[in-house]
Amino acid sequence: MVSVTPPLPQPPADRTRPAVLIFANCQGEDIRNVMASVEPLREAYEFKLIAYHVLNQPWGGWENYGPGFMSNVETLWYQEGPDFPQERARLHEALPADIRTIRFPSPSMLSLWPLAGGDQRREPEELYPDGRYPRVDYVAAQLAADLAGQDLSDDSIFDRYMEMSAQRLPNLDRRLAIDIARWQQRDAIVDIPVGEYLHDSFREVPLFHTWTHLTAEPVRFLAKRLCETTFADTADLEQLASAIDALLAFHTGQDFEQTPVHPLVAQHFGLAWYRPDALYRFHSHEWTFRDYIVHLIRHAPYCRESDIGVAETALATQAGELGDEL
Amino acid sequence: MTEPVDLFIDFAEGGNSGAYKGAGWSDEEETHSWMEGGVAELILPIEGGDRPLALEFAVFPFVHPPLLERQQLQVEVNGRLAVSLELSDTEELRIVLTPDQLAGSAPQLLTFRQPDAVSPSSVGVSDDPRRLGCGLMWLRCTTLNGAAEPAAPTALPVAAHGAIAVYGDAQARELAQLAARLPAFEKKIRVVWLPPEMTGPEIEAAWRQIGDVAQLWRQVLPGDDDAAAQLRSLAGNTEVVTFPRLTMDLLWPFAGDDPRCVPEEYPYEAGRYVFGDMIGASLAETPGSDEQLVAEYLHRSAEACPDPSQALESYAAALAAAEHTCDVRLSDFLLGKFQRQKLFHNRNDPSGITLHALTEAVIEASSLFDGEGRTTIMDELARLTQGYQGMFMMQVPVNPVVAGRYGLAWCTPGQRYRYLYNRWTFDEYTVQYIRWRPWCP
Repeated sequence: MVSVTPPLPQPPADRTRPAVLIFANCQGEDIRNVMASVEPLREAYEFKLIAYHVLNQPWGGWENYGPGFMSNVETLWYQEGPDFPQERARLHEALPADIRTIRFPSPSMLSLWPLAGGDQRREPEELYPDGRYPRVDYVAAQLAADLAGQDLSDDSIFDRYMEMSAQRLPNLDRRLAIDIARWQQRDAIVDIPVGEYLHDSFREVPLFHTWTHLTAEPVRFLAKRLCETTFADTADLEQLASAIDALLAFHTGQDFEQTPVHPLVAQHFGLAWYRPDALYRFHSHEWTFRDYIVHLIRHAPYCRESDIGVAETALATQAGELGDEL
Repeated sequence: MTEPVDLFIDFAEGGNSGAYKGAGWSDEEETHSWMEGGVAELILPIEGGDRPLALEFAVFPFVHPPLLERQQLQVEVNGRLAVSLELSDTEELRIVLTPDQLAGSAPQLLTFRQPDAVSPSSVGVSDDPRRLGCGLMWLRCTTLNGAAEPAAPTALPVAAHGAIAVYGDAQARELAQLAARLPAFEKKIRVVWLPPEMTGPEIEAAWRQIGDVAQLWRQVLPGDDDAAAQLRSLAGNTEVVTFPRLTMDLLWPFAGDDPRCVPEEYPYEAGRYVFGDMIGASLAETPGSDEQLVAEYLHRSAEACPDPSQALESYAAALAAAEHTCDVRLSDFLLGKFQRQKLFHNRNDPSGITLHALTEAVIEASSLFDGEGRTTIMDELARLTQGYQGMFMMQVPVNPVVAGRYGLAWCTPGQRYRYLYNRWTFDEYTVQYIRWRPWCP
């Protein structure tokens, strides 16, 4: 997962308040944003984030967390996982010895997108650094290869996709069982388990925009559990819960790259929230499931709101190259 | 030609993997089968042929950080290395096997080598003595029809090479973004945005760096005479297309300063609500329920709402003044459509419809594209802007009193407006704003 917004250099530690450090992937960005906006907490604590998934990016490295960054950190909210082991080791080296650590998982769900797979066309492009369509659908990819060179209408392309994808859908109950097993494995090593919540909720409310990007609902769940675990002795938990509810009442979660759910998958699982004509946000566009699939198969260009695009990138590159002249 | 293949193997308990496993496997578990002992084999009853095969599989390594953070995995096909990987977490992988990697007749032998396989007992996880490498969850093998390259591009409609420099504010940046994504421009014409914040020497240096500017698209900005003169001088004989900065004051007549809007700590460094509203500000200390507050807001705005005819006249005059020196003029478009379509998300940020029209008009005004080429570009632009929202991240709800006065057909009760990662109705936003409530970015 790559962050939408590169983190800015962090300000020096605020020594008048203790800090909670969140060490997490993009899901931590939402948790930090909630906590930094909750009125009862924002005056009492500083909430800091180290987004480990971008530490290996040129703009997201450890240099953003300079000397003194850790000096007021008293609590660590640590997103558990086997990924980024070197970054995790480096964090542990830098932590104060007596830090209180609360571990939480990184929820994900693959069974709603069972056709996720590979696409040979996905490679970094100047305009699309993570590849044009990062959420790959292997049926769409195969269809694109099959139809190469043919001039077909959007309707025809979509009809073929629906036919082929219906044939290729795997055993969805088995896929859900795999998700549940993964949740249980992760839950066994964290302080804030999520598996039961995810299993009980996914049919009633949308939890994921993609298989790793959360809607506001699981963010709300995690934020409340983290508060309960951390501030039980120091804050009014009911007040905190109400403040979190109010903050997230209108929140979308990280919806910049929504991946539509296949209608047959929605039907199989009985997703109460599913609407066949729903519009999904894909960067600067709003598309239906059909629009999305046709764009995906055509590998069509699209506009992005959140990055600076080629024009500015080119300028930035030039400015860098011109550094001595300017 | 051999029959197309579509084989799916499920390695979980109750799956069908037993029929394909050779040496080196443990029993099926709830979600997967472990490869055991460092080498595991799969025997696939598939004939080779003249078409490539896609091999997809979901796999995860046995790891125990920090002692064992990742495992190597090498996949061989018929004894020849196909791919070598390092795994630290579950991955869904896809490799394509070319016909010359496949045996002519069945079966195909897949060998998974894991030199880092280790037993859980040796790293202190459990008493399990098995040397575990990776767990395989599923594998799918399908025939690809021909090469996977996309269709050969048709003849490019753009004759010119070089760059288009686009000067102007965020609207110009969006115009540049749209142009840069037109397939006809890809690898043919670079599009470079020059923001107005650049100093004179910076503009000059950037211009020299671009080197081969075929055309300048310049936004005419108020008070920007020095930059305009410099760009004219730099452009020399290069064609320049000028276009106006587009605004829509008409729909937000109560915009104004709010003394509460001051920089705050993260996440409100630019102020909590950056689009000030004078009526909202005047109600800041008003007690009452949310419903009473909205009702009072609407009552005051009905009293203060400017005369629509006069406001429309002023807006038309402002548009005319902004575009009178420009090659591209959009006032007729804006005045003709604003009641039927949402053309702006706030006073300064055009919607996708408007930015499409702007891009189309600039391309129309450019002599770089003509005839069939221009038609192709316009078709591409129409495709690119399907569902395009424009500069949509900071939307300001339209007051229903204002919507009523102008007869805005697109503005419906209950309509939601985006404010970064929030979506709210006019009523919800109004209460949030008046109460100066926090929101989550």
